[in-house]
Amino acid sequence: MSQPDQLQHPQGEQSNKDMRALVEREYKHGFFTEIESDTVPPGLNEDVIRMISEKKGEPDFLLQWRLKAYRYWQTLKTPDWAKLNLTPIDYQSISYYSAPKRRTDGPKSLDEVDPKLLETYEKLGIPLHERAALAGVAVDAVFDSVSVTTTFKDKLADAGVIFSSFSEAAREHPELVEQYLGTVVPYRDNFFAALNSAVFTDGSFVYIPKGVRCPMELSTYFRINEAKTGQFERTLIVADEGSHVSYLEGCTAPMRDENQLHAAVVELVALRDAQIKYSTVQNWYPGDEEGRGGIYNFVTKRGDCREDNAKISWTQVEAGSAITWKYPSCVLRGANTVGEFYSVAVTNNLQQADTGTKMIHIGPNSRSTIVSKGISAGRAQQSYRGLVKMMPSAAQARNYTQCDSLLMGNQCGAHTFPYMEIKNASAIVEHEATTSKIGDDQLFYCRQRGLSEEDAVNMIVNGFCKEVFRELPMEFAVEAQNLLNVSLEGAVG
Amino acid sequence: MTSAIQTTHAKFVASHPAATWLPRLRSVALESLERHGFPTVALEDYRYTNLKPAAERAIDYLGRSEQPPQTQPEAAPAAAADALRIEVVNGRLQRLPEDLPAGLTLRRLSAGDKAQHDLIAAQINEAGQRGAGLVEFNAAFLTDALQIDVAPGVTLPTPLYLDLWSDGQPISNLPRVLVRCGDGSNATVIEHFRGTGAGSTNSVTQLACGTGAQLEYVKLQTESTDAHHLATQIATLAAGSCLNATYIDLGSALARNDLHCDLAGAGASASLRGAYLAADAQHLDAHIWINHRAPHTQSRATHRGIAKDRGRIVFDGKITVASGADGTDAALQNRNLLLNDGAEIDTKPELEIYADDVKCSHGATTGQLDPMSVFYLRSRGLTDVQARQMLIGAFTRKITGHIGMPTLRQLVESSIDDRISES
Repeated sequence: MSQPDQLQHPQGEQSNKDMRALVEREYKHGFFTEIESDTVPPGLNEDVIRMISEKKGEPDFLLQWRLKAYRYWQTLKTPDWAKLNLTPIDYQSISYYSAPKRRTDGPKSLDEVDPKLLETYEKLGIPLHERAALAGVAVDAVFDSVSVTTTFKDKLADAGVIFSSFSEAAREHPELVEQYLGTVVPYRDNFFAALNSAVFTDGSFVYIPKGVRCPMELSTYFRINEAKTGQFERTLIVADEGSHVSYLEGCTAPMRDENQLHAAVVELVALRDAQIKYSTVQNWYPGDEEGRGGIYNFVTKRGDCREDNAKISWTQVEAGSAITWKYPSCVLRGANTVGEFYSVAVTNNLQQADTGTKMIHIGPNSRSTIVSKGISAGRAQQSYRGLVKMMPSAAQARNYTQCDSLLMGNQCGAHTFPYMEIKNASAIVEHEATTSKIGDDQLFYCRQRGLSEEDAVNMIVNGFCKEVFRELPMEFAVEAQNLLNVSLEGAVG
Repeated sequence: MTSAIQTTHAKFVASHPAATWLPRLRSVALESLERHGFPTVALEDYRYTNLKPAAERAIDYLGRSEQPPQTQPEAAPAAAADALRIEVVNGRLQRLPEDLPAGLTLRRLSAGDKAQHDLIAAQINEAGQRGAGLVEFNAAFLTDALQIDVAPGVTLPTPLYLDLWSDGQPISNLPRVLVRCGDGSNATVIEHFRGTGAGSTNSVTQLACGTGAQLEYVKLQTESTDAHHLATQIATLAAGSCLNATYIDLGSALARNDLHCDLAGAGASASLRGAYLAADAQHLDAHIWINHRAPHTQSRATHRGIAKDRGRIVFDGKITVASGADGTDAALQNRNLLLNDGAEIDTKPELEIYADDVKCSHGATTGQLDPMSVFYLRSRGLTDVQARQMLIGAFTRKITGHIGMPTLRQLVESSIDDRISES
């Protein structure tokens, strides 16, 4: 466990592959030079944190911040308030820096990949060479994406946009990182945020300068797939005055791992008149039909509309993970700020999801919209948990919340826990929630028009989610629809 | 706190000797209470309401030696004239009315034979496992209980009016009322909590509806604005039965009401309503938990809160649909008026669903009086204050309009109007 495989097999074909893996690593994160330095033994202590920080060549403030976070984390207990049933996580059995380790464990070619997975890719419409990359096969396909990223980088640099890995940003723009890191999600925020702050190994940093409209949609699609054990990534997006950015986060790789912890933190800062649109399609490995394996997804995402007229919009499609614990939130600090949350969560088999949002209205005239669609099938349990808080200063603030759940099968559960705290007399808060199943009459109608039962269900489900899908960028929307169909396969019938 | 309870309890038991079986009931409850303790804000169900002052006052009062009531209760509310009035003064059950309609039996725990005690005790013990400390607290310091039995098939000609009056003496009021409606019976039970001074109440009411029974229950709380009022109702509905409940909360500095409504039999239905008005520094908390445990059960809940000055309204409405409760139809609505800055409304409608063939919905809104409506009324010659009072009154009529007994409805509506105009 403690050493990457390639070190134990230094000869022949193995070393060839090591070379490839090495080259690949270099391409993707130009700053990694020695692959063997990428692994530390399982366990967590201050030395491990110092090692991570040193290997990444981080400035001292970051190391100190990590250590503070770690010391604070040690004083915390795992939260148990969510409606989740999970085996306790042994934090000392996790290797906190082991990115390339699994690559050599992976299948050698597509032929070795679970045919079920390939079928899924087929349905998702992922191009062949990408399928290989997603399945974890070390092939050249990944190079494509790297070159693509590089081309983008030039174009982005022309616009003045900084889009780089977090470590790179920490070295090249330490002043920006120091100014904004932890200002939205402080390391004292919660158990998983503290853990992430201590050990995060990768992530993205985006800075959009004043008045710039980012010329393209930014994406971490490949970065995350490639980083594979990127269990602790950290994303920081800063949109300066009057800027605009749309950011896509795709975790569209169904993975074959055992229960694996994924504790990410995403921080968004929108200054005056800035707009950030953050879209996620999450499809981590959900475990098999019996609930074995799958990702434990504990994510802290929060946006801060720090100055007037800022807008932050979250759109998420949560289809994967054995356990999802995720509440993308907005702090609406400035006047006339806007927060949005659009979510589709699908759980099947034994998946569990406890997800929702928080809208904290501080600024006058701030507005927020929450649209949450939950689909629960099999023996899955799903909860919407949300908070809308109108502070005394939030005059004329407005919130509208809608949560709908669709149940498929009589063994699943769908739950709604919305909290509303209103301390301003001119604020208006509205919440609506419904739970129902696909009506037999709806199915019957579709079937008598010639649709198969599966197509009919897919159509109804897609209609149910349409409000959220139309918020997604085009290419994601198509993928999300297909993903939904795949996730619910076998749920009805 | 626990040791304070123990000491107080020992002292209490010494000064309130009872039949041989009662100490057993009390000690079982005390044991359970010691295990849970009083609910604290660390518990999810109590996060918005700190019951510590209420608990401290209750224990303080229990520790004092009891004094007889010195003041005479105010005249009975006019509405009680049309009903069968049962008086409870400072938590103590007064003489029961004797001229009862056929099919109605009133029993008290402090009188009667052992079989009767066992029957009542069994019901009390059953309820003890349901609350979060408050029900146990009531049982641990029990001195008496009232059982209302309606025989199967009987429709009571007059409503029962429980007039629970407290004069604000340092006495902990712990009323316990058990209502049992036999199969196919039909009854109306009103609980009116009223009083003056810094009272302390922790009441428990158990409502059991037999197959096809219909029960209308009204709880009117107009205690003084210094009082602490805690109340729990545990309703169990058998197949085809129907509970129609209305809650009006106007008084108390701190009030917390828990309703556990179990739709235990197929086709049972519950219709729950509530109106709450918190002014000055009042803190009113209403929790309802509707538990659909059988197929084809139906529930409707409509609750409306008004907060002004530094008043605070807390509402938590939870609908649970158990696995197998197919065909459930549940809807919950909570609407609130927040009349000025400084007041607060915390609301949490919840759905917990484990069956798929269901139709469930909830909605919650918080807002202000519609300025256009105020303007309209002013254009018709009303003053701003009159216009607002009229609109607030209208907001609550949706709730009070469902009270079946006309005199009671008038009483409730005029109490609300008085409260609106005085604050």
